[in-house]
Amino acid sequence: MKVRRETAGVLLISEGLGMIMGALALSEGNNYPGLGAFMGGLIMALPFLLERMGLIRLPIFVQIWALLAIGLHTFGLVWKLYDTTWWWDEMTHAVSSSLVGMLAAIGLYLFDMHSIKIKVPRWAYPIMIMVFSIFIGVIWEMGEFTGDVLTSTRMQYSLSDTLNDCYVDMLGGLITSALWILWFWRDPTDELGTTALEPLIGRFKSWF
Amino acid sequence: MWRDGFRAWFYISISAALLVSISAIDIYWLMIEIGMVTAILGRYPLYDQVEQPDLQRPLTLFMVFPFSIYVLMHLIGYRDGLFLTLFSTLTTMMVTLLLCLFVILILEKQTEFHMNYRFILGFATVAAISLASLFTFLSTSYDLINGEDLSNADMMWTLISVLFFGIVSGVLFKRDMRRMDYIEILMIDQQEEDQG
Repeated sequence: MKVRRETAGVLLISEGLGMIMGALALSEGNNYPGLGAFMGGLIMALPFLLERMGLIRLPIFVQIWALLAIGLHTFGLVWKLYDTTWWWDEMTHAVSSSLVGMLAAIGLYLFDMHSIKIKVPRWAYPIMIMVFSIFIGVIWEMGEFTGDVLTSTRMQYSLSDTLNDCYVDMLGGLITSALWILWFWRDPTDELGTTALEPLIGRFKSWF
Repeated sequence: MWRDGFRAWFYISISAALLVSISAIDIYWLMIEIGMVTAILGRYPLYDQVEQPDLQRPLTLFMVFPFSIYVLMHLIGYRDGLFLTLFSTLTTMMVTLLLCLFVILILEKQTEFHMNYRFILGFATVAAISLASLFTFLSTSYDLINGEDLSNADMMWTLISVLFFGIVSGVLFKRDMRRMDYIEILMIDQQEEDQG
């Protein structure tokens, strides 16, 4: 299926940035940030692939949001900003958790539009976004803790740092909730309404 | 006989648990109990039919049993021990799941919010884990402010047990949710609607 030029543009920028940062980190012997950068590049290929397969046409602002979340995380890893700049971790958590909340909201919106078994009134979105933001934040912290225990990655610095991350994740959810109430559910450009493409809608109807 | 006995046990367990959490200033359990009592007083789904056979197992397993265990643990002065801590987390997650289910069922009954039983149970499980995790953050922050010596690993293991037992509770409830005629439970009686 034809892919929008904007989606191809976001893909090119993200893959380019991922490769540059990954190569730079690996050349300095920093394997973890290097692999993180390449992993980020792989994740950023998903919107393009999903659109190419004719399943999901992710709104451009969400793709840019994802590029920002993954880009800031990788940039922080490569230039060691997580260790030197106290607010870097909080900023990346806020951007990432608000993105996760947004993806959860889009998922709900797709069910709401295309499944007869699920109807979510607009007032319920902020509640559900908050619930998912807390849940994903906890899963993320567990991932960091597991990494620290198994491979000594030192992603969690202290108890207060972990608590801060969890509260910032909630703040990210709150930001998405506010944005959803103020703007997204009006869907002025009909980007959200046309996110699911025909083949996916057909599968939705047969599965749910 | 059993019906009267069950109803008595049902109310005694709530009352005793309320007294315990007030005396121990246990905010989390107090919130759960107040939620349950509100639902009983409001005659929301399930509560006005506690003797219904399909509801007895979930109500016994997910409400009366955890409340009784909570009171019992308080009476025997439980504080430490890995097994008891895990058991306590399991019962806490079971009752939290039930509270979240009730809130979602109430929303289904009273508003245009609609989900089928799989999604209701899935969302209730996620909501229960999020709610318990939020209270873990808040209580840990409170302890830190009061100068208690806590480690990051302690909180992370608590969160892992909350997640694990939250999922276990969801799986345990699945059979009841499937068997429960929740559409019937959710239907608003015509007479009730006319009065409203």
